[in-house]
Amino acid sequence: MPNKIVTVIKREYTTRVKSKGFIASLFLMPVLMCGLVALSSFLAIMEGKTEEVRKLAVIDETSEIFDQMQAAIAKHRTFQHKGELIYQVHRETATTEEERTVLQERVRTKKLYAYLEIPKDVFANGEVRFYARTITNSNVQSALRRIISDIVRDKRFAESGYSRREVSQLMRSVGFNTYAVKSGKGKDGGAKVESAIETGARLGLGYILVFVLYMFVLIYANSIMRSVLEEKTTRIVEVIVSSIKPHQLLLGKLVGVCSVCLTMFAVWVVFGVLLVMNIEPILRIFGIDSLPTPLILVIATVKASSAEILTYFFVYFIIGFFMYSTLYAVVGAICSSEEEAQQTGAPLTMLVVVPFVLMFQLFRIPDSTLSVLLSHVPFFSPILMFMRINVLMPPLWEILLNILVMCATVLLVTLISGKIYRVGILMYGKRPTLRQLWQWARY
Amino acid sequence: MNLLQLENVYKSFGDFTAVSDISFSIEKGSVYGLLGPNGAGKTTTLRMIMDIIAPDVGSITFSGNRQVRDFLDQIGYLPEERGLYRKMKVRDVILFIAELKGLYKQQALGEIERWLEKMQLSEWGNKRIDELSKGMAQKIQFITTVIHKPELIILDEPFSGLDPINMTLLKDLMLELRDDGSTIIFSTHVMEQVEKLCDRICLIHQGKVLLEGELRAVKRAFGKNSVEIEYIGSLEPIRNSAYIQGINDFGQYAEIKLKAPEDYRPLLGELVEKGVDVTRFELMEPTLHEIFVQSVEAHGGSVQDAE
Repeated sequence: MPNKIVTVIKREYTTRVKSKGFIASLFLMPVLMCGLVALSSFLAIMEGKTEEVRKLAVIDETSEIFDQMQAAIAKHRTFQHKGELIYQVHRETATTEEERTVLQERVRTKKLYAYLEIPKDVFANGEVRFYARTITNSNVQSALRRIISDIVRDKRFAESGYSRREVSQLMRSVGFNTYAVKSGKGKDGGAKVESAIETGARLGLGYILVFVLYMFVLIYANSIMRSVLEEKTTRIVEVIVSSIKPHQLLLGKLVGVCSVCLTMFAVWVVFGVLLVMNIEPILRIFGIDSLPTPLILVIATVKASSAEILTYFFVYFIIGFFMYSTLYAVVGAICSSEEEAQQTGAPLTMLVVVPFVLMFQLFRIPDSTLSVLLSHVPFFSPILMFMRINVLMPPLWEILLNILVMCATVLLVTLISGKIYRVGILMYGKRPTLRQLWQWARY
Repeated sequence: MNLLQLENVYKSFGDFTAVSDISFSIEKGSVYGLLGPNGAGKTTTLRMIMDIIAPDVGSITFSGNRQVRDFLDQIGYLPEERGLYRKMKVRDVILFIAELKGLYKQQALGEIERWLEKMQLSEWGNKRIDELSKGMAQKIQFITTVIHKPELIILDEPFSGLDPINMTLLKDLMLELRDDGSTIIFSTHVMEQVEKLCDRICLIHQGKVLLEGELRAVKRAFGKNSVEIEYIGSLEPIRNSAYIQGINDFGQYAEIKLKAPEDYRPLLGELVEKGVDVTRFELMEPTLHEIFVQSVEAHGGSVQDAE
């Protein structure tokens, strides 16, 4: 006889995998992520591009700075686009308020991009004023600031009898490299350490995975809730539970939907592994022959650490998925309409959102008592413990204990939920009170 | 031999007693009608038969076996409110339920085609459920109920919401399935269907059995208190007869309800005496509707609840 749980799993799986939404997100998610990276670098390139030349007026009350400034701007990359200078600097004199108003008016009507006022006492402690329609283009502002500061400093140095070269030689700061000391032994037998770039690469991967975990648990737990509700409102659930036990139906659903997520992850992991393994030939297609050293380090780190991180990811995803989805299934079972279910499910969403928000604070203090305690709260563990594993690997016993506690929680939640679910799917009308739910759980 | 037997079954939900001391048995190859107003406990009884909910007290046996759960694949169930997965294709939905009922895919696929053809829905097999008309969806749901050739078919209010054509179709299918050896139990409050279909009936009200037995015996027990006559002329002379409780006059034909079953004799005498030209005079059995209404009223219910 065919296994009936398998029949349920098959239906949950195939109807979802065949759906347009699944196929779309399978391809769109990586494309979107790559697209986001591409878009931000494209914007960075686009920045400063303009059709017309930007005019910059300078009121130089010292009469000593303008010439040097013009020369420096002509050489500075910030003021160029594709090798051509796109900023035109000219001198203005404005001594009265009226003349300044005229300049401001020209800025406002776009005749001028901006104007600068360099006060007479700039060599002592006078401050430069920059006026433009928008002051969000910080690149231009900080370049101007640096150019003027250099000119002013040169003059101060000259007056004091030093050369700028000598001073900057003396003033240069020391190199400061950071390393995370890891447990285990390094290649040369000494302590295992990790540079900031390596940590960054590992954390980046970890962040992406925490985000994926968070998103998928929410999306697919909701999907289960709607599916339970659909079966209840169409009453098809009555036919199903006249063939299999309600808890078998629930289990089939959870396994089926979980498999859908795992399928999607598997495709992405295979895709990602192929990409990382063949990164050099792929980049050669785009005409990039050699990578900068930091990037090589990033790729090496991802290669070395992804197996461990992904293993933990799958463990925490599966446990987290069952923990939350079972609760969402109960919400579906005790409600009679989509709106009601959304409302009832809202507090549950907090169980996922709260650890996700906390994570951004706790990752700075991964070994604080607060972080450790919160990461052991069963419903927070999938996100917070996984975060800790990424940032600062807790001792193995702590991870194993945590997994054990979570499995126990899943078991307990499933047992209670299964009972409520069993009664709920056959009850129509008013949503039960908490007291009734307690009664159902004890049937 | 009894296929299904319920003995002294009780079920309550909290303070509410849904079913109280229900007993009946269904012979293999018969059609059994479970009658009663809404809220009488019909659906609860049917759910207990399928072990969807467990009775508090009492026993339910299937083919003499108390573990009905082991026989669920031999039961087909049509719930009162209909519905299927709206986004699934017709064939996929039927296949899913057939597999749940223990059919292998290959077996099921052949049966699906046979049934779709029988219902003249073959071209609709690849459409999604939400593209079907209501009538078609009801037919598909009926297919899912019987696709696995169940020994016992449980239909909860199968006639509700059907148009007359589909009602006749369903009635014919039920009789066909019975002739093929299936046993059918269905609940209803549409009495005409019961009279045409049932071998036995059980009338329940407020969770209790009011009447149970062979349809003909139940009717006989209620006695013949109606008369049908055909006449020429007018019925005016007997309109106020002491024996008549009510007349439904159609001009040349009338249904007369008597005050007591034995009143037909004096009534016949009165008709002759008053000179009404009677061409036919026949004693009628009470309709099930009348029995139903009377029984419910006798137990403190009202006809409005029952309809």
